[in-house]
Amino acid sequence: MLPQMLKDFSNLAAWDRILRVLVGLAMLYLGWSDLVDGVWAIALVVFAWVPLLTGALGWCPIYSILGITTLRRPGSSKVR
Amino acid sequence: MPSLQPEFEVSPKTLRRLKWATIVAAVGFVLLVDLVRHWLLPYLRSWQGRLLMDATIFTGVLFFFGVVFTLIERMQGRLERQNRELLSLHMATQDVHAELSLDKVLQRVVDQAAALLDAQYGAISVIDEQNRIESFVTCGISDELRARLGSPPVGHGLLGVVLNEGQRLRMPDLTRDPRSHGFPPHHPPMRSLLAVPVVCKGPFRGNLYLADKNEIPEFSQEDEETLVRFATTAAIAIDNAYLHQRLSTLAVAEERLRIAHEMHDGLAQVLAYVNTKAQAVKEFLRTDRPEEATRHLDQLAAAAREVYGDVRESIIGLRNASVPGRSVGDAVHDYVRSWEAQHGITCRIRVDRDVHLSANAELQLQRIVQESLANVRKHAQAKHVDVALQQTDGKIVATVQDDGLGFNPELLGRAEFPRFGLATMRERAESIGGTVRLDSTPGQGTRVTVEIPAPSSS
Repeated sequence: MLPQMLKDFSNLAAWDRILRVLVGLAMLYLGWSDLVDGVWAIALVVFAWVPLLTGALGWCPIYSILGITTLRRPGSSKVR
Repeated sequence: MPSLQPEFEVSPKTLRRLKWATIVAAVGFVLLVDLVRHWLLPYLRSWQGRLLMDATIFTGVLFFFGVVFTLIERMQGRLERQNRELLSLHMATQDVHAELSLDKVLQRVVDQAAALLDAQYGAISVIDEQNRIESFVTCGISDELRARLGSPPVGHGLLGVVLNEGQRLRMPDLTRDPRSHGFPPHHPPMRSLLAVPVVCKGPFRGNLYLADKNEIPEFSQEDEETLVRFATTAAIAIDNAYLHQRLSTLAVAEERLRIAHEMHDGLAQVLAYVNTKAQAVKEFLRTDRPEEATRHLDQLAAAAREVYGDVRESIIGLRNASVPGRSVGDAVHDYVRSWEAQHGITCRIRVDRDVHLSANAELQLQRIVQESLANVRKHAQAKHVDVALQQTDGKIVATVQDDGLGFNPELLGRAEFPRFGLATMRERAESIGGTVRLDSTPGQGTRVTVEIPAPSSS
């Protein structure tokens, strides 16, 4: 049921998901490393979960609200 | 009747889980905010710290409303799709049910099914009780190609699975199925297949096939459910067309039987009478009794005139037989006008031309009017006849009134009834739930009144 719902809700293409996971990991790395410190390090760690989570779920709330999708859906049964 | 299947079904268990997930997510979000605030404690007085705090809350709210709007959007999309499907199904069904000829119904069924599910090819095969293919109707294949393909398939291979086992089939590539027997020469290549049985109540069984979904490699589960629903209503249309065909055949048979009875009771009796009289005349001439012979010849001529009148009336009656779309009022009006011209008896016609009845009721009512007019011609010696047909108070009343000799109905012997065809008229009226009344006074003419219930307007 939930996997089916996630599949139905998905609005991210595979490349988009991979990109988001990579960006999220990079943000986490920068946040935990000494390259950035202070409030920006905290910001990177906190917000790294956003691309990681959306990439893992395949669903982006901003895309959803704005009606954007990077996914090419196979057409469902159009009933004329 | 198959029910509408939602695209995804939210069971009570899943709904419970979703509610718990919402609570957990809310608690998690509060904890996250608390954690962020704890981390940002040294920076909360700076604009960066406040911005980060606000951004965290904003992101949480965005996720929450994103989920809510996505759910609403999905549900709305699902309802819109189902509405479109129901509307298309309704229109396709209306189109199919508007036809009564079996072959045309089958053609419309297959055309509408292919249009409904956007398929390139469609076919419907109908088999009778002996498993013989009664009809095989296609769409998407030109007549020329159809002729080159030769005789319709006999039900081997995949078609046989649906035909004989009544199974639904849905596959992306029918050529790869081990049960496939391949295509005959000149057959266009087909890949995706969707086939469902059409279960009729009549003597037929049908199967509806669609092949090659346009733009998409295969038919979906949703397509299958749609086609099953369509096949259910198509089966009703096929049954309806079959019953209509049967009704037409029965009406023709009944009319033939009536003509046979009329010939037996009228023409054959008179011809037998003519034969007897001819023998008698011959005998009188042989024994040199010309006066007797002349008297019998006069009787012969009278009988010939009478049967001539009957035959002419039968011909007018057959010409005025019910025609689809014409009211019984029109039919009676035309008959009476022809009868008037035929026999020279003046007729006054007051007919409500908007009266419509079932085919059988129209036929019976016309026959009663015809029989009444035949009686006027044979027995009344009338100069004028009033014919009326009107609808009043839920009844349809037809009257035929003449100004002829009249008679005392009470003195009319039971044996004489058949002569006036009254028993037959009563039978005809009763067969359509009506009555016949005969009013007559010697010297003041005769009136025949027929009352039948008007059909309900619903």
